[in-house]
Amino acid sequence: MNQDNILEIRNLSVNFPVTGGFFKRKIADLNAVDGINLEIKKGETLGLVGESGCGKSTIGKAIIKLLKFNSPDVKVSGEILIKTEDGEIDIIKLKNKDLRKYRGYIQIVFQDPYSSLNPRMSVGQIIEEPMKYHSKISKKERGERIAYLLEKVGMQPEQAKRYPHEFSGGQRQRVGIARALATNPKLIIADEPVSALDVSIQAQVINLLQELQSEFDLSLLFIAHDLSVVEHISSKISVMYLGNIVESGLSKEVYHKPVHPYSKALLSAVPLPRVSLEKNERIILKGDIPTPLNKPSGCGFRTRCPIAQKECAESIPPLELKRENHFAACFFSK
Amino acid sequence: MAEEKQNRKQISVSLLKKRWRKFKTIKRGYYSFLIIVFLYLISFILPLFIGRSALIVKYNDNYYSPIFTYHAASEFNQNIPGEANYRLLKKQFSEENGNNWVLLPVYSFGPNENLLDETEGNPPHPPSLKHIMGTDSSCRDVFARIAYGFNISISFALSVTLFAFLIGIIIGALQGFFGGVVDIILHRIIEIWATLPFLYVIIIISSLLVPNFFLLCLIMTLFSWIGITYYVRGEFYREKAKDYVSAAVAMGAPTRNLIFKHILPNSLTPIISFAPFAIVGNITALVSLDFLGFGLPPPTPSWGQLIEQGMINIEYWWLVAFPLAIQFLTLIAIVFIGEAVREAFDPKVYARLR
Ligand SMILES: Nc1ncnc2c1ncn2[C@@H]1O[C@H](COP(=O)(O)OP(=O)(O)O)[C@@H](O)[C@H]1O
Ligand SMILES: [Mg+2]
Repeated sequence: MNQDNILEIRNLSVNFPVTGGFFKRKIADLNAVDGINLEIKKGETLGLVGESGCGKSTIGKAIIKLLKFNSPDVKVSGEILIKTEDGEIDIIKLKNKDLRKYRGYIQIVFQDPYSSLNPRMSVGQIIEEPMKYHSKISKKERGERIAYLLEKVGMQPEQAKRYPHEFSGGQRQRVGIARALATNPKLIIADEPVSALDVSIQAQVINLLQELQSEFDLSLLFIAHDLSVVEHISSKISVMYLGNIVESGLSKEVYHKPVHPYSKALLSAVPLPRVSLEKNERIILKGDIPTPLNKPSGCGFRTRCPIAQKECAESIPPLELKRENHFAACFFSK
Repeated sequence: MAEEKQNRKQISVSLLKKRWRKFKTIKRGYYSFLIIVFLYLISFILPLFIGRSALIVKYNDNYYSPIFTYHAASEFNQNIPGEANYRLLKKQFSEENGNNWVLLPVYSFGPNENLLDETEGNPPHPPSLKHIMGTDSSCRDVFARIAYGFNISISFALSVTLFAFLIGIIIGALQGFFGGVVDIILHRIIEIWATLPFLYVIIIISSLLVPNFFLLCLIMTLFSWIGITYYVRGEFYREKAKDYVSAAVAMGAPTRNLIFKHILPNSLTPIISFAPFAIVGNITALVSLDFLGFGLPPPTPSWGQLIEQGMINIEYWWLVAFPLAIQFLTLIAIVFIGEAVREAFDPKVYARLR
């Protein structure tokens, strides 16, 4: 594991068995994530972008080992390494029992602020719960820390006594962020944290995450389906399509000079006038994203790709260096 | 003034408190709740108000409290076998005009007391000032029997509901939380159990041994938890998939906290709104069993036996009307409570019932 990295994912694959028929037998494997590699450096933000259904949340959930909880039959292979005080650990190999101690290192902020807070707990109780599991501080200190965290996420300490149903979506998302911060995590996975919010609130929450990141020296895996949201906050961006990473590089590079035709298409969907995109070419993707149950042979994107050729159906293009620090998985794009 | 009102509105309340407040605004259900709770509490100290035993007897400078201790008639120099008859004793003392006195309950007839010696003519006697709901064919006071039957009916229904819910919640929670094989195995067991015919089992057991209150409770409980598991299982499946539970897993919450702190409190809504109706069902079940003669053994003052007597003696209207009316009023009050509970748990703001 590289010195600067806080998280390294090697060859991660996730398969959900699909059952059917009278006896609920396994009839197919849904390959949600197909052998991806990722690294996140200390204090860095990695933006993970892709259409919905391409496997972004699955990666996030694999990192905090949530997949088995709701889908006990899921098959996860590869390595997910995180750096801890006790050296590096592989989350996939670790048993839940042994993992519990490291749960505080990685926390998650969910997409839906309505279902991600327990309606029966007050905001204070919600933020307090992770402290109970991960720090041995007294009740009074916990109260102080709740007030501190609420202030940090832009709320008032008095609001700790309130219940989630008394808050708006944006405020609930702030509570969710405070809860994630409560364990002093090294890495926060933000799984489309603003997709469910009003556009006017989105910028506030993104700015908040950005401020907190530098203040707490956090690493962030920021998941979104919209490149423009990610570009603002990330230092690097990885673009996903159908369980694979098709392009990855520095945020500005990917945003302004995308290589892969899929990234280009994603960008041309962004309604802002952008100077750098050549002669305002608009790429409109044909058809729908194929299901992961029935992937096309070769390159997953070829069925919708404007520049696809015969070779694309024959072998899978590897993620190769196209420019400095800029990788893409395409035979023909430069 | 307006500001103060604003402030009061700002005070934050948990969901439960909010629901309790909403419940209180639904007058019909709230008052029914108060009345039933009040009557049920009173029914535990019923001998103070209705019963054959005197509260206090002063006899030859000694004080006795017969509602707590048994006193043979001979202790008070009464010439009848068995326990003293305090009504006669009171009459006797007041005729003697001495220092002795008896303090009787307001309504001084017991539920199982045969009053043949103190009444004229053949039972059943129609309602009179002395016996406000008349007497039955064994010359027992109908009002006293109905009053004592209230406690039995409610206690029975409450215990059965409580234990059935407890079993149902535990099994449903296990199925919903662990899913997979646990779910399938438990489900098969439930299906097998559900095919046992409840009525036959009761009839067979009652013909082998005399069922008492606890045995009946046990049998009823064993047959009424099944429906609860379906609700709880479904709720657990649904809540478990929600993000707040995932968040708790991600922070390393132990399984017992996931179940008891997070999922369970959010899974109880449907069965809580269901509970009053389950109580109604269990009251009716006991009445039916008693009516058919497979319930509590005589001479327990149960509503079912009263109604059965009414059926046999249909020409004596008070044996039919009073037990049915009281049972009807009780059930409808509990249904009102149930409606209000359901309404209070309904997230929609505007209620029908107000
Ligand atoms: N628990 C699950 N069981 C079966 N299939 C799943 C499960 N979770 C996700 N999937 C499938 O995996 C694919 C990726 O899903 P997801 O990671 O949620 O996509 P997204 O990029 O929108 O977050 C989708 O096709 C989805 O249907
Ligand atoms: Mg998602």
